Amino acid sequence: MSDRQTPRWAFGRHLRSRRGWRQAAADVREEMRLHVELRTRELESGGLSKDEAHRRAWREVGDPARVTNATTRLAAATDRRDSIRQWLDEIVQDVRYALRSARRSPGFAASVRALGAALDASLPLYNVTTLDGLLADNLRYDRVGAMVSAAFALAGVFLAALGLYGVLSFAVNADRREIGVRLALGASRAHVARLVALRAGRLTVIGLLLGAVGSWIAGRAIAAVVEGAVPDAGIAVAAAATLLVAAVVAMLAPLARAVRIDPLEALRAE
Amino acid sequence: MARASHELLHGTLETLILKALEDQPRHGYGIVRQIEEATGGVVAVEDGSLYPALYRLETKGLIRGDFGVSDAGRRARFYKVTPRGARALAAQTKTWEQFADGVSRLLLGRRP
Repeated sequence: MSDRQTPRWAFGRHLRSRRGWRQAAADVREEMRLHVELRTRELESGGLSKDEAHRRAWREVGDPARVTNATTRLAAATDRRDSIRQWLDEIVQDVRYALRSARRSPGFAASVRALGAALDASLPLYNVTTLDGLLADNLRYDRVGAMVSAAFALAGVFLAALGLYGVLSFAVNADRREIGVRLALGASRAHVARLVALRAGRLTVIGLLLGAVGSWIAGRAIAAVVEGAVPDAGIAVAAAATLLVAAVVAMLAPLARAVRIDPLEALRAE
Repeated sequence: MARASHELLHGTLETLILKALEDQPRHGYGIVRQIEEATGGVVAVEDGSLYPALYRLETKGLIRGDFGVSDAGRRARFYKVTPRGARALAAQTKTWEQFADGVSRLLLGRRP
């Protein structure tokens, strides 16, 4: 359609044209710089000061960002006609964007567009969004990072509970012989249960105290680096409660096993 | 210096650019100079309207810009009119002639 002889349907055109836009924008900037330079010289010879001439030349030629945006958007529009894939991409993007903006503040983009059209119908308006939307877009990657951190923290709590279970099971199993001896000497099953629970409980309480101190220190360290990260007592209590529940669950199975220990068998195993 | 308003220029800028490039290829600044000189300074291209217009024309295939070296030895993009552009210029000139003729008749009371 144009004299430019751009190959249609070429493989990888999508990426190549993106690079093409950047090149086009750079070309326009270079073009405008030369224009301003020549115009400045002309205005200077007309009696303006260098500064004034330079400012005025830029005003006449236009804001490079706006011009390159307008021009490269036009280039993009041309490419769109060439490549259906890119076209579909942009439609999906636009629809998603429109839905997002509409959800955030219905009618906002429309009223901004109407306002813009009233001021200057030829003014290209795109990426109309609210300040909130802009903030949300800018924070998107930070938020993903925060979510990943949170996922790791959850995995950490899970692993801690698993470790706690392993340690308590091991501790109770290690006491098999002692429990067998006590049972053989006439200790009651309730006594054995209390013994196991007390040992497990002591381990758990020591662990929780160490963990509380550790998390307080770690929280302070993080708060010193990350702005707005205040050590949260509620979260600490929730984590401790989770670990406590894990400890109780971890205790139950070895406890049940300990209570059912046959003293003869336990002693014979020696 | 009396200068045509931006609104008046807007619709005709593309035609003026085609006309400015009719005799020889020029870069952006050269186009502005040519338009100002040829209109006796009545028409000024300002407010950043030139480069978007150049791109519109190139997109439509009416002009073609290629980087070359200017007289002063600088790298610059020179635009030239394509055959399609020449046909468009002829058509637009005719349209303008009829329009201007009609408006003149109305405003100035001229008889054909």
